[in-house]
Amino acid sequence: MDEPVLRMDMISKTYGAGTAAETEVLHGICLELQRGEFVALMGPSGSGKSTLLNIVGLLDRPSSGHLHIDGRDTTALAEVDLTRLRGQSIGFVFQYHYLITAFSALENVMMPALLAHRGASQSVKEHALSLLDQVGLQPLATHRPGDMSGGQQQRVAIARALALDPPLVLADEPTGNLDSAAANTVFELMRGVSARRGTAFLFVTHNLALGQRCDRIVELIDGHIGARR
Amino acid sequence: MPCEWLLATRFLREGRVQSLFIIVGAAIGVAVIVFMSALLDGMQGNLFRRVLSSQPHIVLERPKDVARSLAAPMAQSVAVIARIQTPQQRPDTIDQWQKVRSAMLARSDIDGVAAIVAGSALIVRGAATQSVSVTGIEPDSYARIVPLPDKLSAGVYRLGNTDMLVGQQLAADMGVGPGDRLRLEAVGGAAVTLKISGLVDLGSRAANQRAVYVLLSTAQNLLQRPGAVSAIHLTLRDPFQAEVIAQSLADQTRLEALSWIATNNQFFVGLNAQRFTSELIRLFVGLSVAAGIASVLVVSVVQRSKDIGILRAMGASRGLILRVFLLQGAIVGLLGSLAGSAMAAVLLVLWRGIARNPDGTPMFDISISLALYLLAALVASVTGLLAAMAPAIRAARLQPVEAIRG
Repeated sequence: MDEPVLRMDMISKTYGAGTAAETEVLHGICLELQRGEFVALMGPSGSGKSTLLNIVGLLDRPSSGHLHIDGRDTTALAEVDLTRLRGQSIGFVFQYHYLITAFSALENVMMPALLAHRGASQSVKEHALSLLDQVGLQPLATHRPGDMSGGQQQRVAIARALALDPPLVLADEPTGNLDSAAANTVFELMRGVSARRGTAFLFVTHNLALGQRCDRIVELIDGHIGARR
Repeated sequence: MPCEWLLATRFLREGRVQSLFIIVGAAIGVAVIVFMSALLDGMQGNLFRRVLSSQPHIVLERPKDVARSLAAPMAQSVAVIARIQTPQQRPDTIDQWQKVRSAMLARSDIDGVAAIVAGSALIVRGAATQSVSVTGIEPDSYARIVPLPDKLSAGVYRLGNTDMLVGQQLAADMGVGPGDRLRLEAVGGAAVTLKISGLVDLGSRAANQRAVYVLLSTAQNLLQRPGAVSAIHLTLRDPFQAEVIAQSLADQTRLEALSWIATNNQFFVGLNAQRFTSELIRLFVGLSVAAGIASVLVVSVVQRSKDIGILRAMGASRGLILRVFLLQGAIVGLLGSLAGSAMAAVLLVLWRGIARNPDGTPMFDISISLALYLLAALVASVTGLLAAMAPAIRAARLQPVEAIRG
C-alpha cells in the first residue's frame, strides 16, 4: 500500500495557551487519507472542523502531534518550506468560492502555476484551459468572477485547486452556499475529478445526503473523532 | 517578477477610483515641486546673469598702504607707541600691469582680462555740471567683462580717441544724445571735449547717472596718470570658484584680489535663504505625497486581505506579497510623477505667457530640463516605494486563515 496522502498523528490544538482563556480545540486527532479517497468531514459548528482543515492545509500549526502530507513530516518545516509544500501538494476550495475578483476565470486558474513559476506562460494557459474544460466552463474563461453564478465560481475554484495537480484537495463547505442543483453539480464534479485523477478530497459539509455519497464520513464532535461509517 | 507585476497592476486597476485619486495627488505634489524648482532655477539663473554680467568676477588692485609700527614688541617692559595713524593713500596704480595682465591671460581658469583706469571728473554743459566717474577701458577686452554692446540703449559701441559712452540717465539729465559733445573736466585741471557715441543702460539709475566710459589712453591723459591702470578686471570660466581663485591670484601677484562673492555677500545670503526655503517646501510636499500613497495602500491592504489570504493559501510567499504592494507604491509614484511633470510643463508654458516685462519680453527664462523630470520621476518612484513599505509589511504578515475569514 502506498504512503497515505494525509496522516495525522495525535494532533492537538490549543488556543491561548498559558492564559485563563486556554481552550483545547482538537484532542489527539488521528486520521489518514489514502490516494484518491473522498472523505466527508462532518460535525456541528464549533466542533473544530475549520481548525482541523487549517492545520491540514498548513495554514496553521498544531500544538502537538505530527502531520504528514504526501509522506513528508511537516512538523519541523520552516515557514518558506510550508508555503512551497502548500502550493504544490494541497488545493483549496473555500465556502465562499474565493476567487480573486481582479482576474478572469482563466487567470484565476493559472495563478497557482504562475506563483510556482512553473512552465512557459503558453503551456500554463493551455493547462488552465483544459482544467476549465473539465469543469465545463471553458466558454466563460475570460469572464470575471463577478459575472458568474455562485456554482460557476465554485467550479472555477475547483479547477484552480487542481492547477498544480495536488494529491490532496481540502474543500471547506464548497456547497454550503449553493442551491441543491448547483451543489449537486459541484459535488459530482469533485467526485469525478477524484476518481479520474486519483486526488484525495477532504470535504467538509453539513449536508448528510452529500456526506453519505462519499467514501466515508469522519465525524468531529468537540474536538474528537466520533463515529466512522 | 512577472507574477508580482501582474498582481500589482491588476490590483491598482481594479481599485480604479482609489488609484486615480492617489495618482492625481502624487501628480499635484510632483507638479508643485517641478514647477517650483524650474521657476526658482530660472529666477536664480536670471539673477546671477544680471549680477555677473554687470561686474567683474574678480578685481585686482594695488594693496592699500598700511602703516606698521616699526618696532616689533620686544620685551614686555618696553613701551611701544600704540596709536598708528592710517597713511594717506596714493592713487591706485598697479606696478608693471602689462606683466600681470599677461600672467592672467595665461591662466586657464580666467576667461576675460581687462585693464582699466578709473577716476572722477565733472561734466560741464553750459551752466550745468555733474560729477561723474570716468572709466578708461580698452573696448574689446572690457566687453568680455561687462557686455556693454548688449547694454547699449542708443548709438553705437565705438570708442575712438574722441568718443565716449555715457549712462542713459546722465544723458537725459544733461539733455544730450548720441552725436552731441560734452566737456569733461578732471579734478587735476585737465579737460577734454568728447563726442557721445552711445548711451548705455547698466540696470540701475544711480549707475546710469554717473557712468562715463572713454578710451584707456584718453582717461590716462585726463586723470593725469599716463601709462597707469588702477585695476585689472577678470571674468572666470566658473564664477562660483571666484573665492578660491581670488586667493590664488592674491598669492601669485601680491595684489589685492576681490571676488564678486565677497563684494556681494548680501546677495549670496539672500539667495541661500531662498534656496533653503524652497528645499523645505519641497521636503514637506514630498512627505505629504508619501503619506497619501501610504494611507491609500493601507486601505488597499485591508480591502485585499481576502485576496492576500487566498494567494498565500495557493503558495504565494510572504516576500511575494511584500513585493506586490511595494510595486504598487512605486507604480503610483512613477505614474504620478509623469502626470505631474506634464502638469508642470503646462504651468511653465502658461507662466511664460503671463510673466512678461512691460515691453513684452519674458521676465526671465525658465529652463525645462529633462534632468529635472527624470529626477522627479526617480524620486517619486522611490518615495512611493518607501511609502508602501509599512502597508506592504502589514500585508506580508497577514495570517492566511485570518485573512480569508476577514
